[in-house]
Amino acid sequence: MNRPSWLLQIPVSLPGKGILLCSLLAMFSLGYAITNCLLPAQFRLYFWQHQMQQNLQGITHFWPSQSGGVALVWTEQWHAQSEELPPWFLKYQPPAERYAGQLKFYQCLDLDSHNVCQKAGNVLHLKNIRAFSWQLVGERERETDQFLRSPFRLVFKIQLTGMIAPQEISINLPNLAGPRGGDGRLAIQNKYQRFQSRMTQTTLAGGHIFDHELFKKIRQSGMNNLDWTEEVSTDDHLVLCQRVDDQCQIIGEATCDRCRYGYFPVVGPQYCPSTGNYACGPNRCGTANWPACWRGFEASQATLQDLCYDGSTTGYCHAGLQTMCRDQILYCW
Amino acid sequence: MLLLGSMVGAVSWGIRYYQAQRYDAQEKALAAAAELLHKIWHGDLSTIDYARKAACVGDRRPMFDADILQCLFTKHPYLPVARGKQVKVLPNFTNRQGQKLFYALHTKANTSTNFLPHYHFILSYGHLMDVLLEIPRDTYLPERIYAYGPQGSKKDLRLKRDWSFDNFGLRIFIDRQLVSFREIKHWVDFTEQHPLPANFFAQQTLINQQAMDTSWDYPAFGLTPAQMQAYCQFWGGELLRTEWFDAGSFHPGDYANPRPNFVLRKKYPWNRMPEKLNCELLFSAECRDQPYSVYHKSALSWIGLQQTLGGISELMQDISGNYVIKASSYLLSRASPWHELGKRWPYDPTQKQELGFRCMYYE
Repeated sequence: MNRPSWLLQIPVSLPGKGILLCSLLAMFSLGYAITNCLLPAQFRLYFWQHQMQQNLQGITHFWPSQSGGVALVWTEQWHAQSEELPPWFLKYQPPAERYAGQLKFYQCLDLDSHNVCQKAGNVLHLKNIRAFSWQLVGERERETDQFLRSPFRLVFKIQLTGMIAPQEISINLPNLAGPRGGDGRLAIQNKYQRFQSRMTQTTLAGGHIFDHELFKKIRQSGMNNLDWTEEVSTDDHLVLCQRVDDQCQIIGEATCDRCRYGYFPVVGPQYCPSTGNYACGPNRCGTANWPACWRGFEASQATLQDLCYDGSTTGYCHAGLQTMCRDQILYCW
Repeated sequence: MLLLGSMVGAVSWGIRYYQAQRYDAQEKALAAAAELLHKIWHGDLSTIDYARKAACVGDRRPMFDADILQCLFTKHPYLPVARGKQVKVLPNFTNRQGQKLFYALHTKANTSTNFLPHYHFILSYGHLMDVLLEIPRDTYLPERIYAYGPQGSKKDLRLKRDWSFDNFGLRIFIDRQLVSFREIKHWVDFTEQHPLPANFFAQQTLINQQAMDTSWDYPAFGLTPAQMQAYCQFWGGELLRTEWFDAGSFHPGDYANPRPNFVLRKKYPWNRMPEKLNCELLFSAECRDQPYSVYHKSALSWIGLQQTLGGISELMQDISGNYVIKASSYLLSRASPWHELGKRWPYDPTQKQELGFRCMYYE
């Protein structure tokens, strides 16, 4: 709320290991050296009210989402995880008469108590910006014709020194629901609704423009493989890709996105409303020497403090088997 | 010196102007091509030439269909964009038969993120562009308390003997439709595991003897449970389990209350069995002289599942670890008491029957 108007700051958070090949930076590049061309697939944008009021008044057009836009992804699961992850920031300084503008996209490795970044890992730093503007673009409420409503897009117009015309880049913000709340932040639509699909909620619209070098790297990584995923649970070894402690905080790094055959929930010692313990597939839950299948916390009328004990009904096993707590995971035996 | 400096400056400016214009034109052409590809993918075939469309589309449902695009690009691997420019579509993958495919799949086998759309095209016009196209194949199962199997007796209801379960804290997605032959074909194209019988795609459904070559959207049958599991795992999911099928098919009544005291389950995914024969809602034995369609807007369950009753039967895994099949199917007459949700039969691998399947996913 108290940020200087010449330096708008949009905190952004990384969701885990979901790294997306970036079109945004490739469009920015245009002959400028960008060493690391990776953007997180999901990040969070906060808009402060005074910025919104300033910028919403100037909207003159909508930029189609298919034209090279990048959709941002928001899920409730990520929302819970992200609190513990270092945030990303998009920071820019508009050009002035005596100096060029700059845009910096970086991950903050250390925040102080006032959310000011103390240590940053740079991903992108453009210094030669001659013209720069951004707009939050949405649809107008028909009733009031005053507020914007979703779907929102963030549109950048950037003209680097040496470029004849500004480049327009649009970022879809499907997770933003609308301006509300006392703190002036846009509400985040972070829950799936009935009839929604993973793909309609989290789709990446449009194409990704790559330069040849980046594309070559992608092709070299395998047969169209963006990344191999190899974590597989076997009869001898259950790969726990996400574990939470008694405070529902994720222990270490969550690696479920590397599970070759997806992942499934397992019953741990306590219930966490928006996160939990997960193991890599194939899912053979309920069979002997495998985790019990998820039955649920509320339906089993378990107590909050203790879900994992021999005979627990928070998970269920196939016929003839009993639940048994081992290494703080409910197994079938 | 001044003149020389001016000349160098002018040349430098000219080069930069030329480069900027060239990049600008390339990106505009690529963006226009990507937009066109999106339109075709979403069924707007007015954007493509009629002759090409007629040769490739036929009477298929032109939605989310990589096969149509494969056919189009095989004949003419270009997307027309403004002012006579054409953006080339590059072959992306060679399948087991040596056929060049213009699309590739993103699955759990080749990408670490869960959020990428499944189909992937590469456009080329100076810069390269990857276009990702999605299929909203699954539907979200809201977080609430559910109960397993058909509704019990009044005494059971009073004593709350239901086997209940919940998915609070879980995000579960279920395929809206049974997996189709087209989806199996794409799976086969992209994996060398689980080879299928030579005549797999030439099978004829017993529903109404339609030839399969015009029925790629029919539910795939003839797979073993292991092959069904392998297909679902290919996409990072697993074969649907019965409790989650029940959760997605029994209408919960007051779905605004996720924590009911007891879970009512109606016999049908809609309000009641219609009095007149309605093959769109329930494709029973009496309907077999009619075309079998896998999609009807009126036949959706409360979360959008199709084919929860009637039609081709469906294989699932129950809470005892056994494979079971949905009892209601086109083999039974409409008067059969088995046309109810939650009623299942044991799976018998020795008995030959058409069994479809669908997958579920944890997110």
